Amino acid sequence: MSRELSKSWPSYEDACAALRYGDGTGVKVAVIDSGIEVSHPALAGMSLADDVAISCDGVHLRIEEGGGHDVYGHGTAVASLVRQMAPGAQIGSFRALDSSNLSRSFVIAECVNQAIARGYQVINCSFGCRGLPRYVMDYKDWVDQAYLAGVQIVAACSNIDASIREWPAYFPSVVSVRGIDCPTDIYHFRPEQMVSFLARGERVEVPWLDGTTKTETGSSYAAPLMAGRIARICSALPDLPPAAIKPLLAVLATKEG
Amino acid sequence: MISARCKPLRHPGLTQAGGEVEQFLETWIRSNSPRDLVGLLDPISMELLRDAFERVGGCEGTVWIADSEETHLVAVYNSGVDAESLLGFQQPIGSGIISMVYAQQQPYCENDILASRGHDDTLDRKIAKNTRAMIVVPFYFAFALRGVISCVQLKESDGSAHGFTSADVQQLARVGNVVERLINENLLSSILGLADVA
Repeated sequence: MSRELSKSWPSYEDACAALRYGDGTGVKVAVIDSGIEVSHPALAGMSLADDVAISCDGVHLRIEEGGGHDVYGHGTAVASLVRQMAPGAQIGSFRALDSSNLSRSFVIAECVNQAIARGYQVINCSFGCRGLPRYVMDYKDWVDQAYLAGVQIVAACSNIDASIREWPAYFPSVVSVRGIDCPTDIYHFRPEQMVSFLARGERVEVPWLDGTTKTETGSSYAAPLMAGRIARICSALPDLPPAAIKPLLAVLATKEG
Repeated sequence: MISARCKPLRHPGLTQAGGEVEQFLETWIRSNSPRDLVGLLDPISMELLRDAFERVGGCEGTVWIADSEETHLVAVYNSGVDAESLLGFQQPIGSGIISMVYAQQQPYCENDILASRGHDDTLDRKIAKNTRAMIVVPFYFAFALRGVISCVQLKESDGSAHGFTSADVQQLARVGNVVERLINENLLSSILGLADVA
């Protein structure tokens, strides 16, 4: 595909080709999670673009080296799915999910700040928070900051009831994903819904702590598949305006039978 | 035909009171231990939970509530026959699947826990059971995350259990949400003097 062509809205054929043949090369994907176990055999050959652990003692934020560790195994699983979908992407680990729930929103916000400052184009958030009004600004601040910086946030959402909001999944600029039982190589789009993307999240085999693997179910595992797809598109269409990514994903989705 | 959405408007005079109610509830909840808070599960809530555990094919289920320091999740309700041996068990926040769900606030399901080295089997050893599959969903009430609800299939079961599906996860999450609404309604009715039950 010519670079000239990719400077404008791509044709449907070019967009399909980007999704099919892009491999994420040149794109940085941040995984905000529980850390990534880089020594895991399933991640052989992978080196992290960044490995950061952020914590809060109630007053001060502390930013440290992550040391290639994962506290739960969840971040390792998420990273492997991003890599599976976009093997050329550079993945960075921003560990936030071992912090106390009391300071969690501050720690997550700092992870996003760090990822934006370090030039990441995609941020995967396989976590959520009940969308109560009192939490809205804790999340809206960094979601908006990412939007203005042209960084695509991808968030998992349980979507148990359309009337129940979750942050960050229920912000319009976020690509919000629900896990379903479908093949890994397809995803669906549901218009007029806040959680509008559906991808595989049932019985997904993933690497876990200490070199093990597990078979897991949850939207957490659907979100990184979409983050990887965005990396594929961005690697093939590097001049695509960031705001075009979400509508393009909608156009390229597999129609539901 | 004209349709209308039946929804009361926000009352300006009560908006500030809403914040005060939320703060009052937060203080009240932090002054209670997790085992005291189990009293918020009324008989209807417990029935809903027991029904849900059964319908998704679980052997038993447990409600876990975080202590006020958020250092442990404490088992406060269990639907199994050996509930007494489990109640009061404290799982440190920072290890195990239920802690992970508490941290990420997303429902989770695993169907081969025995093969998992990441599983913290302290509780299994304490109650002499082997968890084979597990669903965990976040548990909210009083306008915040308070703990998690877990449902398990045990190796000791009759063999009819073959793991959970994402539909089972959604079902348990939905019932958790209904229980949350019941608790909230009871709390608000109580503190506003609107309760119609003793």
